[in-house]
Amino acid sequence: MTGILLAPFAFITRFLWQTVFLALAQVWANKMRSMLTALGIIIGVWAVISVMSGLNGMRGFVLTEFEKFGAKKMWVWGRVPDDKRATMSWSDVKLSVYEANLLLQRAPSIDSLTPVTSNSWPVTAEKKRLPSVRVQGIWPQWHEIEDRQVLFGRPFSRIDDDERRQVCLINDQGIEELGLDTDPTGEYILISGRRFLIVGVVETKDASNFGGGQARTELLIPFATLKMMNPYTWTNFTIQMTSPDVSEDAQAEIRFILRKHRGLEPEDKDTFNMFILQDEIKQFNAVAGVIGAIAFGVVVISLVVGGIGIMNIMLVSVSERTREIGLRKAMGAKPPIVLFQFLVEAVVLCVIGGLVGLVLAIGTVAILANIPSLSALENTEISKFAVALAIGFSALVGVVFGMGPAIKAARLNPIDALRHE
Amino acid sequence: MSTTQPQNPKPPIIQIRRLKKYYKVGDETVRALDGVDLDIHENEFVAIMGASGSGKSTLMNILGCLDKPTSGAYVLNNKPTHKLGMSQLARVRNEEIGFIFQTFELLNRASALRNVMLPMLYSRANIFNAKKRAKKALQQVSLTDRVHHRPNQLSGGQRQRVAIARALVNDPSILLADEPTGNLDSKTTVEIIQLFKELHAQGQTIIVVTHEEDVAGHAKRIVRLRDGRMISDHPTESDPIHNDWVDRMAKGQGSQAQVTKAEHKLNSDADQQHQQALIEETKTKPRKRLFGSSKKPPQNTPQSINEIESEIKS
Repeated sequence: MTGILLAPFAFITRFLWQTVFLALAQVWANKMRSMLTALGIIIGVWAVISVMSGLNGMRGFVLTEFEKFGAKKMWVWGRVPDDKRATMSWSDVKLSVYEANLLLQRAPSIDSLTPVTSNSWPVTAEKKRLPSVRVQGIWPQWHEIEDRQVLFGRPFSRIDDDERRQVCLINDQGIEELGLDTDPTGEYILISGRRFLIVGVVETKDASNFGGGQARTELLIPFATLKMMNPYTWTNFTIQMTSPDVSEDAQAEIRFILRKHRGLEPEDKDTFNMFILQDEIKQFNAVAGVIGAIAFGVVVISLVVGGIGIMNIMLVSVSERTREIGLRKAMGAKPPIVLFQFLVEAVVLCVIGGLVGLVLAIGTVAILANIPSLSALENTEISKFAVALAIGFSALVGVVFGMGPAIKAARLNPIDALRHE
Repeated sequence: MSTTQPQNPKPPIIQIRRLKKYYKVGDETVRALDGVDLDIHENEFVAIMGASGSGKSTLMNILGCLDKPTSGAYVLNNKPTHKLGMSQLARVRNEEIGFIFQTFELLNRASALRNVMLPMLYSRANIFNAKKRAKKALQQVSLTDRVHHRPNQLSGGQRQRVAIARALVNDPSILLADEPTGNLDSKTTVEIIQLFKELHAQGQTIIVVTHEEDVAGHAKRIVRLRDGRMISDHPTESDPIHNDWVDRMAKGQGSQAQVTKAEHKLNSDADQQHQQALIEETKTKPRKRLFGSSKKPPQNTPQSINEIESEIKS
């Protein structure tokens, strides 16, 4: 009883097994020929996986660099439009704290914001004096936006800014250069002759390759304190959006709010400028996409060429084995079964080629990832998508280019086939 | 037909009525088979003979369901094969017919066992005991010690025995052998014929297509074809041509190829009849038109099929 129920499955399973086994035997019997035939597929798959993995590795590298910079961040600064150079000065377009508060209140895409300004002053500590140190004025939100917390002491608070307190944060490089203790909180230094209390040590973040690399001395003081010391410094905003996806909304909101506040007419150009990493990522992705598409095209062409090779050898195989086909038909093989047999053979040939190509590609990628001068490729790894695509593609090539010869075999008249010399 | 067969008590396994097979070669219609009627019963051992061009290959192809007749009926084991499509015919070939070829047609890459298992690959029956059946079939042809040998490791006689085992493995209703000893020396020929005789004794229906009188002599019945028609159908012991041939061989005269008196007479009679039939046919038919052939190949129309079927039933 179970035999009757299982028979159809057993029939199909046995047939599949036999066909695949037969195809493998056929490939093995003609090793050299099969190898040469599959060469097109091997090279195609090798190329597709290597190129896609390399491209993916490079993309990953660049994107992590961007991430270090901050995908949610954007920058705004004042700018004199080209056509207003004669009538406007840079101080007319400088961003103000009022505008910062305005943006924070009215732009829903903005999560937080800090104005940033800087000035270089001489700094004197107990043991050393540095003639020119870049001092940055910030709001407390800076910690969150730049993701830099304090290691010792405390971060800035709102009150530091409101009361224009003379407090500062310092980083490791600064501690070293000024010859301070490892934990210098509570000590005083002189910035431009004013006495500042060191309230905390801010962590040094792994600088991205875009940022200029080398860590340097950093001194941070409240924004308002710096403006008090020098009201003429340049100001820009560092903004954190609610998510990387709202970059366009954020840009539109900022543009609308600032233009309205500055009373610009529709025909006037913006008196400010914005930089969003998201745009750069998009541009990079577009370039990577184009390179990917070109590589894809090349690979498709090489797989088509490989497929023609497969078709050629399958035609040879069909005419070589005409008598066998005749025999199988005489023994009761129906045309679809003969068709399937040759199709499976072509697919097996292609998939074997694909697997060989995959092995070569794994080797290639391993080599690429270990070339010291190609640091952008150091995280390259075989992407599962590329593997699936390449194997799928080679199987598809087998089906497409094996179909013709298989149909030819299936259509053979058994009488003529058996008489064939 | 010069004589009719005595009534065979066993049920007929093959019933052929007015079987015609016409080929178009250029403008001409070649009548490979021109109205053959033939009954073969269970457990018969029949030899089909004829010179080349007599239509015996065509008849064998149709008997083997490799080809379809232009018109007429061929019922094999109650299956009206003239009505079946190619894919159903493939199934009939698988289940009802065991083929034995002159050139063995074994797969060189596969062992004897795998070769014998080949027909079972295309059938839904015997899935779970294919290997056992194949071994049993090899045992039937006494090749149990060569099961895992490849064809190129076997002698000609052994190869043909593997082929016979392959033909037997699906329990076919007929064994169809096309010049089974054509590629064998006389000693192995005897072996193979002996094997056929054993199988016949076990109840197998065997049809051998050959042009060798001594092979045909081992069959129980000889059917002779000439120009697509049956010219004689006798039990072997009463076949005049065969008896002539036996006589001559006994006396040590002449070669096999030489035409015997009886055969000459039979052939000329048949040719005269054929001519007569052709003349009558042209008389009754309208004259040939200027353009296009007036002789259209006959077709299996529903009427003709019904007519033949009622004839078979009665």
